[in-house]
Amino acid sequence: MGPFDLRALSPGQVLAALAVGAAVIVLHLLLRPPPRAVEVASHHLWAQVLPRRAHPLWKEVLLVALQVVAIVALILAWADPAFRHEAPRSEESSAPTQRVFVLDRSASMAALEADGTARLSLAAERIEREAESLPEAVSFALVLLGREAAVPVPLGRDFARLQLALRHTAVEPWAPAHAPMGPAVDGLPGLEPARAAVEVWTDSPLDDPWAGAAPSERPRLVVRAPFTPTPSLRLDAFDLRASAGLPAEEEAFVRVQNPSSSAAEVEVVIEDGTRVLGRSRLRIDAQQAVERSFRFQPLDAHWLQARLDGARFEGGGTDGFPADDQLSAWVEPVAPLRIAVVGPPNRYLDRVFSVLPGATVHRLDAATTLTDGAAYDAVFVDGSWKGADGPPRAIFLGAAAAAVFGSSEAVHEPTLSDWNHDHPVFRSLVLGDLRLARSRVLEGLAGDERLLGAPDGPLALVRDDGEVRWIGLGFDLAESDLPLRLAFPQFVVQTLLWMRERPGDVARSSRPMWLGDPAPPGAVYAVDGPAGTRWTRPGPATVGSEWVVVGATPSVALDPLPAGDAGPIPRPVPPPPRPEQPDPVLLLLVGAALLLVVEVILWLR
Amino acid sequence: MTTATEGVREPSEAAGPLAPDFLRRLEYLRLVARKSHAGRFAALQKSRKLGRGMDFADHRPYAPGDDWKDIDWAVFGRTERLMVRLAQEETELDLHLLVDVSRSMGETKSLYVRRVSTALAYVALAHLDRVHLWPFGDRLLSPFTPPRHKARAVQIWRHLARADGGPATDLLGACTSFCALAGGRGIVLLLSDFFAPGGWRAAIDRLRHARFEVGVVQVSDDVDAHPPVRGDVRLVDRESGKARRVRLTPEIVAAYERAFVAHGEGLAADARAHGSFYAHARTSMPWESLVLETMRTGRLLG
Repeated sequence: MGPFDLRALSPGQVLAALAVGAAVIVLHLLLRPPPRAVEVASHHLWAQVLPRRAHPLWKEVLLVALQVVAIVALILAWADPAFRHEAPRSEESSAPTQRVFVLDRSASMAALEADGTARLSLAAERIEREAESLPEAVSFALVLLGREAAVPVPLGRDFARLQLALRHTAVEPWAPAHAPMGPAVDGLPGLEPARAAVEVWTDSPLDDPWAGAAPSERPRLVVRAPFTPTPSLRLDAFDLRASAGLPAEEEAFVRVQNPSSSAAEVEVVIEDGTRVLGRSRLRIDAQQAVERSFRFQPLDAHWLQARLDGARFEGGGTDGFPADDQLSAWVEPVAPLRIAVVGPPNRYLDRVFSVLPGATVHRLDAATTLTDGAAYDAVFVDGSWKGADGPPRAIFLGAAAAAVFGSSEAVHEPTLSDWNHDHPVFRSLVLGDLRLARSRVLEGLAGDERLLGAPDGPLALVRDDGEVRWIGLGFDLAESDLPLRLAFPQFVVQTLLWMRERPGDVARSSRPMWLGDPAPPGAVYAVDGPAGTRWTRPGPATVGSEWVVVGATPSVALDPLPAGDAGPIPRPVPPPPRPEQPDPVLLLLVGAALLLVVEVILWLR
Repeated sequence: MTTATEGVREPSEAAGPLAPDFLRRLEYLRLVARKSHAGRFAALQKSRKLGRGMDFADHRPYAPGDDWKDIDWAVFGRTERLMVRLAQEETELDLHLLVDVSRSMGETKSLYVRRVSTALAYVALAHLDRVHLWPFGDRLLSPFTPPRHKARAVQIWRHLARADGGPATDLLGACTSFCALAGGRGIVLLLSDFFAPGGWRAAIDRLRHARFEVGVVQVSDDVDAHPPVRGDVRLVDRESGKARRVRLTPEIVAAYERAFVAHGEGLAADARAHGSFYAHARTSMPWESLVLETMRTGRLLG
């Protein structure tokens, strides 16, 4: 209503009150009692001193006008007016009056700035300062994005609650990426998209579909990433497996990534719970990865841990995100080679076996004493053998091969026409001039692979049908010059290695010990250890007497920081300080009182 | 037995309008004419007639037949001429009471003038003067002349009680009619509040022009002098009944009071200028004081 805002009555109500006041005045004028009659002797003298009218017309009009103005003033006072202050017309008139702070607390926000401050802490501090400086007209809210979105501070002006929430917010280390923010922001009670601005504090590019919506369909969005690119190395993989070679050892596989823009040097440390087993200094160029393998003697530990230590980048700086610098892995036990020899002593084989490290040889006189052929990595059957069955991993020599593979005839001094260079047992061996005094021609089955052949037929076969791995040599070692060859020990080893292979084995036989997706509270983590142990929570635990670190942070890629900062969000311009103005209500009341006093004075005079 | 009302005592019919003590005091008074008025009958007033009396008035030459005792031998001795001594004859005086009986007088003033008129009539009748009552209002009412006996003064009272002057006051008309009827002889005492619309000056001048000796008694009450009203009122004219709505402020009332004073001062000044008797009688003033003191001081009574 003009320069005033009416706080108690609407303009319509004011008009109604004025109409009632006007009616009261009219009724008062019409119904007021006539003045009392006073009898005088004569008007003769009175006529000389009295004015022509009891009151001059102007006075009558003035009295009525004063009454009207006084009543109007009282009615306006009743309406409780207040001076209206127009906000300056500028672009700030459309400034958002609602600010939603979205804080990313996924794993990458644990990265450290140059001063050692974590990104999350830096963002929280900035949010707190920004909220504290907002004018009274701006309300704010806080949304935390981790595995899920949380709203600890709804829209309002509760700065103390915001402070508390920010100071108790921590990175969710097992949240490689944050939850979508759209539902949490849109679901804020009281949010008015046209008047709101969303300020996202994150170190990851926004690939949220909500953020990609048209600006007209969501509040104004600003990304804040006041973080410096953090150089960081990442222990990408750590795996342990028993090597396949002889002697069997523990093989550790390590891969370190350097996604940073500077080359770095770091030391990889392999350790169990009590001692360091190995160190290796690596230099990794920018945007490169380095893989290393380490071999260890068979260990009696159940797990090993690899960690990066002492990272240094060219141009200065250390690893800003150490959370992904260690991994743990189970140790796959290295088992000794178990060999059984069935038959009479064979000095050639014995000689080879004697020099094999990590091999145990059981000598058995006859096949009847072989009770569990499957317990051996390889069974050499030299001599007679009954039946067509045999241990799953066996080398049949001479008559034993004929018994297992079947034989049609024997040939004397066969001329070798072929041997299988590609088979693992013959790889890299030169046996073209092998001399045999006598050999049986093996028949074999369809699917058997020919290892050695003469024009008469195969003299050595291989059967690898997924259940058994057999090698059949149709000749006795003593009836050939094979044992005298330099290739013989290699042949034996390659045979043993081939026998030891398990079809379907994965390249990595152990699993890194990290939880990956955390289970909800109370759930059981599916981390199985040796002897059926199972971990239900991340953190240190014991397997027997050994300490185990369960739940190491998975590798988190520190994405390139979001592009730039959109600049400050405009703020509503606070109204200029109200000049000292008297209360309109008081003015109206005093004015009405003065008018009534003036009217009374005029009426009396 | 009387009751008091603003200084005027209500008479009881049994005692008559005037108290016996007061009547005895009145008998010591007599009307005093400031000039001689020739009366037909011998009374106690000096008249313009020259004849046989106690008071030397003049000489005239001796004519055969005159009484030799009237010859002023002192003058003969000085002038060798026979001169007869003449004396003023004491004859009757006509007292004309022009009494305002209009409604503007109101009850209080009417009662007051009735008393004063009755007292003056008694004084005159006690000295064998003649009293003529001329009530007037909007016109001159029928006159009343009581017999020349002091006991008849009460008839003045009664006649005035019955007189109704009407709603208005025509002082000039009444005086004009009076002059035409009264014959131009005697004392005229005008008793009124003089709130006449046409004013009083022309009326009194008319009386003087008719060679009457005019006396004025202005009667007023406290309401006339100091109206006790303020604010919005309707002033109702007692005579006409007309009402006028007024806003009586202190200034207006003060102006009225000044006008009232000027009204009285005008009458007084006119009386002084013509050597007439004037008295301003407030009804709050005992009427006996007016008769016994004021009229004596003013030489209307002696």
